[in-house]
Amino acid sequence: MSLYRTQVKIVADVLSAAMDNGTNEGVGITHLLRRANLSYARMVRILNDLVGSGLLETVEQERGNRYRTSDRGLQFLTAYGRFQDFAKSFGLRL
Amino acid sequence: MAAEFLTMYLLEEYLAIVGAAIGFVIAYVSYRGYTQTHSPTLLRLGAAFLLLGISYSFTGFHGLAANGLLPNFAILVGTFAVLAYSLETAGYFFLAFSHMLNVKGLKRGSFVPLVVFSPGAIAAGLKSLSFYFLLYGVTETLLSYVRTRNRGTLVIAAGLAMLATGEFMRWIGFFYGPASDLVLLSVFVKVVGLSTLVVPIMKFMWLGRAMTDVVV
Repeated sequence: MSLYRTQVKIVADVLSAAMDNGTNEGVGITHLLRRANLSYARMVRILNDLVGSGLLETVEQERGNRYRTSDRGLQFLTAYGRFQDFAKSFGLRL
Repeated sequence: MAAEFLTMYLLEEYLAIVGAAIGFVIAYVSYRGYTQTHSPTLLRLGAAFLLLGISYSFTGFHGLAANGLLPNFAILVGTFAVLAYSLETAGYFFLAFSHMLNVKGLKRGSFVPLVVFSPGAIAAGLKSLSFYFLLYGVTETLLSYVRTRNRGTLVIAAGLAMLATGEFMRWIGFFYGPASDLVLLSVFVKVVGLSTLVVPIMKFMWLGRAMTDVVV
């Protein structure tokens, strides 16, 4: 019996993937697509939402936009990890 | 005998108030989690324990009032009892519902809980539904433990199983009279079951993970 990946989990995956670089340059959309395993159309929609809500920041470069996790995004990931453990205790997933 | 009977009954009422406190704490932590992550799972968990908390409060205060320890509002007592059972059933439903939404292939008819109404009184029907939802919650929590091997999940499954057992023993106890040893044993089993539900909260606090205000 397989399990759905919830929207919250997808957001956490995208934010984690955007931290991969470890520098302030951010990562490209191709990297995000590969790591978060999403279609291009869906990824664009999610990126717009995340940038709009301040969880991701865009880094403008000559070859197109790159994305990095904002401080708010980092706080989200911290809270996500904490409450994931809590939910897991009840046999649930966020 | 009468004093022993009263003490045992009061023990159950006090247990209900302790259960209410535990329910409210879990609901609060779940709600904080919802505000920080916007996870619908946490919202449902919070709703489940909020309803259970209110239900246990009603049960506890209704019992204390019925035993003359609180101002007796006789007219409302019956209404309160049915309301408490309804809220309890709704709480257990939300708990079971949280698991149901996590299972892919539900539409293909994998393991959908059946809704069985007892032809008897409303309260008895609600109690049997509560027991059913609890059993479903136990099954899904155990399945989750098999998948994740998380010890905390096993503790919660054991707690829910003890709550279900306590409810079942309480129901059986009616046939042997309200002062039977079975009723006392059911109270003890429910106390232990409720206490185990606090474990994730304690872990949450003891790990020094203060609840910060992150609003997404």
